[in-house]
Amino acid sequence: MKNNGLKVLGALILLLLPLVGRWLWFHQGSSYTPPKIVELDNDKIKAQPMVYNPTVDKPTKGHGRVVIDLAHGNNLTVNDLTPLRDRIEARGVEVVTLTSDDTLSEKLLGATALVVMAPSKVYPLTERETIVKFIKDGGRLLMAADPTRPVPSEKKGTPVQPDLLSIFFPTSAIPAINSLAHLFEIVYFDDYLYNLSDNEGNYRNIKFKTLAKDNALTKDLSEVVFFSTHSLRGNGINLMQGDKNIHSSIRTGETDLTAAILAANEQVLALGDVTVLTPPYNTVADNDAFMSRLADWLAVDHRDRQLEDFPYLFTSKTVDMIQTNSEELDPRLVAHLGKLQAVFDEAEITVTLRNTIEVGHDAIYVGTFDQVESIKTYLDKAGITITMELTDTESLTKTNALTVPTKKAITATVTPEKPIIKATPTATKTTITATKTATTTTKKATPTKEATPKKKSTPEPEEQGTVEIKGIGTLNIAGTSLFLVDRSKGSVVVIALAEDGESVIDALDTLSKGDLSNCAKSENLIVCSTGKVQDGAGLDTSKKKDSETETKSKDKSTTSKEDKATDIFILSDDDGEEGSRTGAAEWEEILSADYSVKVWSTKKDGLPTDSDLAGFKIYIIDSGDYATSPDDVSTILALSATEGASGTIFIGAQPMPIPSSDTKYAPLTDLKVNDATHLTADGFKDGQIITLLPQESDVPSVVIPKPTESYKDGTIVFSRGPESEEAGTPVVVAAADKESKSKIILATFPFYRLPDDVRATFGLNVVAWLLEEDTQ
Amino acid sequence: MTFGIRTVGNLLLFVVVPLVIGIAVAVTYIPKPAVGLIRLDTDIWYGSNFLVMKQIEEARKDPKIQAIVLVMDSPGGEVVASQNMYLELLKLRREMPVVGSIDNIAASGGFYVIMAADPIFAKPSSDVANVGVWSFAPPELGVNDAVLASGPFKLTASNKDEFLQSIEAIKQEFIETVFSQRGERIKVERTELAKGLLYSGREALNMGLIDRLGTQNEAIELAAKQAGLTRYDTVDLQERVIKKLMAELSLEPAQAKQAAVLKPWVGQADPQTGARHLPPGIYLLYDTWLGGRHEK
Repeated sequence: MKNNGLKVLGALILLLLPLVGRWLWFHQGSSYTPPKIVELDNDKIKAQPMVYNPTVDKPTKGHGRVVIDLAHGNNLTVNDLTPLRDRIEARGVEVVTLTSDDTLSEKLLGATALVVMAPSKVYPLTERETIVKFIKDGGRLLMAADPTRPVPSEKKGTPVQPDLLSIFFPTSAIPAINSLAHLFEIVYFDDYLYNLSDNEGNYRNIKFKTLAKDNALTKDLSEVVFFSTHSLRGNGINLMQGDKNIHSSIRTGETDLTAAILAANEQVLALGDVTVLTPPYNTVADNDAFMSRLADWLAVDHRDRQLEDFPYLFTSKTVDMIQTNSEELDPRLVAHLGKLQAVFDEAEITVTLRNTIEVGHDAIYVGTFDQVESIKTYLDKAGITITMELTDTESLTKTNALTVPTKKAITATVTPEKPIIKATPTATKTTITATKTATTTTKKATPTKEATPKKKSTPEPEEQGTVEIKGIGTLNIAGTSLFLVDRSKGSVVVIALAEDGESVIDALDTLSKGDLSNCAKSENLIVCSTGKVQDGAGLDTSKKKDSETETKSKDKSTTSKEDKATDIFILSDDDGEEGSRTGAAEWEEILSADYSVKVWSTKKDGLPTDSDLAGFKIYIIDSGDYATSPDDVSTILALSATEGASGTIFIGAQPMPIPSSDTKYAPLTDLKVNDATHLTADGFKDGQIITLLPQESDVPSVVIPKPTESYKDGTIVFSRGPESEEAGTPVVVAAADKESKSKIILATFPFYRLPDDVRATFGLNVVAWLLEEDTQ
Repeated sequence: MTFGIRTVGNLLLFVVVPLVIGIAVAVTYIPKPAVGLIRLDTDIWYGSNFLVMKQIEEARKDPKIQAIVLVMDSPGGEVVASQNMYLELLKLRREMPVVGSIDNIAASGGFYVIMAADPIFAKPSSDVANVGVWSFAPPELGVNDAVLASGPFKLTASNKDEFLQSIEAIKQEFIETVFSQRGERIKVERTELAKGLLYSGREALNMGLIDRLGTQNEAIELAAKQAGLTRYDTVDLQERVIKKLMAELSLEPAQAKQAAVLKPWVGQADPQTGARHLPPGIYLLYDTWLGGRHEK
């Protein structure tokens, strides 16, 4: 029995043995102990909501007119700026919008502040100059841009199907804001700030607690929150500065960053964020109070207004228009008053015709140079002397003895130490230039009591006269209009004088349109002229009458001065890629003093039509450093078909529209004068090397092969210099067709790359040669 | 010495038969154990979540599977799918060891999921972390009389403020998950993690976000060791699940990659080459239009 029990036990052991053995074969003998899983603490997972703190605005009466710029692809909606706009208007200040249909310079005429928010288009040179002048004259500029407002995508997504590409890979708008900011020594960085330790609900909602204590914009504020802000740097007051926990997305490690700078004598305020001004974020922390401060800052009028700001230079809302000869109102003036009123309406000014100035009113005196008795006080104060002479064939000799010229001329002397007449913004030297609008030069002046009475005899005597301006010189009244402002009696008095009644009306038009770019200006005085100069007068006093016989002179200035009516069409072929430019501005600067110039931008104006192109003598087709576009073909064809044209220059790295498949391209560094006898190279020497300025794009210049059939009759005036690839090949080729009397110049380099002095010489040479009637 | 019939009978009855039965039972009931490989190698979305859930289910059903290595190669994806996988793997870790092995990338949702594993291996240059969440802001609809709703956010489910808080809360949940799972091993501030940076495997090791630099085999060995295994097989659970699914769907293996359930999410990973065309941040966690948690 016992044995049986042992046997069963043995059998059981044998039965279990494989199980235990196999288990031990696979396992170490220890088993897995599950770890303790830690549960999350709910209290640690709680996002902090934003705290809104709207404040009641307490507006005080302000002054001025604020322009909000929406003409530069601004990436915001109209409603975004409603809170700021409301606050400005609550201060009694008018807010107007600049759209793409408006001209900045015109909008700024009566403005006291400009608001630029999230622009995406770079400000062109002319607008930058306008804004700089605006600030110089006491205007204020508020600019802001933020990283959430890039260049708007042309592909519009929908809420259901957004354009992910533009969302994730936006085109930065930093170049646009920096084109303005740089003017005032401020730079926006293409970054955003973040704070992971202490933020307003999200890493990019930055709390600024270090605020300028002694500036009215931030004084007594404790915290301003920006919602995605660029960092800024500049010369000015840092209104808001970040702490050690605020970092830049692109500059790791840098702290104490700035997001708001007040610069340019506290007239320019740059903010790194736009959203802070938009609802509802304008009510977080002290943002609302900051916005009220901004409105206060914008609602001031420190503008120093000059004649160019007509009619906004008047301080009274009622202006009396007074004819200097008050005996009989000129019907043309009455008729023109309605037209003028429209201009004054913009400035909310009422104009009334009167014969004397009312107390407390401002005034405009209009009249001719021979009717100045009533305004003599003002003229005397300004040092202006008007001398009138009655001339006819017999009395000409006497007149000559009293006045400078017998022919209509402008003479001017500028005191070098302290010029009274300032140059126009685009001019590089102090000059007096001709206006296009005051065109009447042969009208007879109406005699006054003081002037010699009219004679009924034939030929009818003509009045000649001069205007002598102290410190400047003497001008012939013919074709001249003069504007003077006087503020000495507590009111603003503007005097507009011209040769005759019609010219006065034209002059008023000139003033009201603000198109004084070709007039000579000083603080209180503007002189405009048709600029018609005859030999022996003005700058040409050394030339004698016999110069008329010099028909084939190569003197470019003579050629241009004798033909000031010459119209030049400058086609800026600039509808290509960003980063390129043409030389249209340089051409205009060089030529506008002597010629009537029209600049056409294909980017801005599209391709010109036949009618746009009609009537010009010279065409300058400047493609700068843009690559050529097949779209230009129609323009070129239109030009070639234009009758009456004297000549055309195609200039640019790739000036011709359709290069053939054989066309070669190579970088161009310098030019060599190949034929200095040609008028286009007048002033240069054979073999002279001209080093070109750096190119702004990497578009290579076309290599013109050695003489080919297409220009075998042409002259190679300039060739590629020794430092350039393909040295010795032509760069400037000039050709004239004797039958059609048309001329053509092909120049394969961007005009702007010429050094300043060379550029002016070459530009004037080109026009002189194209105008010259008999060459080759 | 002679053996009688009785003796032979006793030998058979008390020795051979128990031994044979014992061997048969041992082979039947004590199979060779295995370490199961659960793979997450696509963007995280409904499909990848489904596949991982199937692998976990397979691991639970198969008694041979006594340890798991979570093989991670994912740039992340949807929030809820990530959290679902994380929680299910955490539950599995209560039953058997779950060791993590990062191949190329464990970013965002991928990193979230692998927080359920312990320890975690990575290669020195693996991409690790990218903690955070992103989404498209909800549309701001106007109030009108044509569409009437019972509450201010019934149509949009949120507004920008609320939505931002929601994003922040998800980020905090993520960060706290990392801190709770890594415990005292973590050597980095919450603010550093909140940056959303992607670290190399070596950086992640120094920061305490992973435990070791090593291969998948090392991860398997460690998983086996945690389970107390000395001899074991390795089972690719993803491969097994796919084969079963293909059989259920009557698909040829060649069609496997074309099967909708296995296609990667719209995160642009090339199904043929696996190449990714967008930076990792683009693949992250949460997307309302593509099946996010706010969608009703």
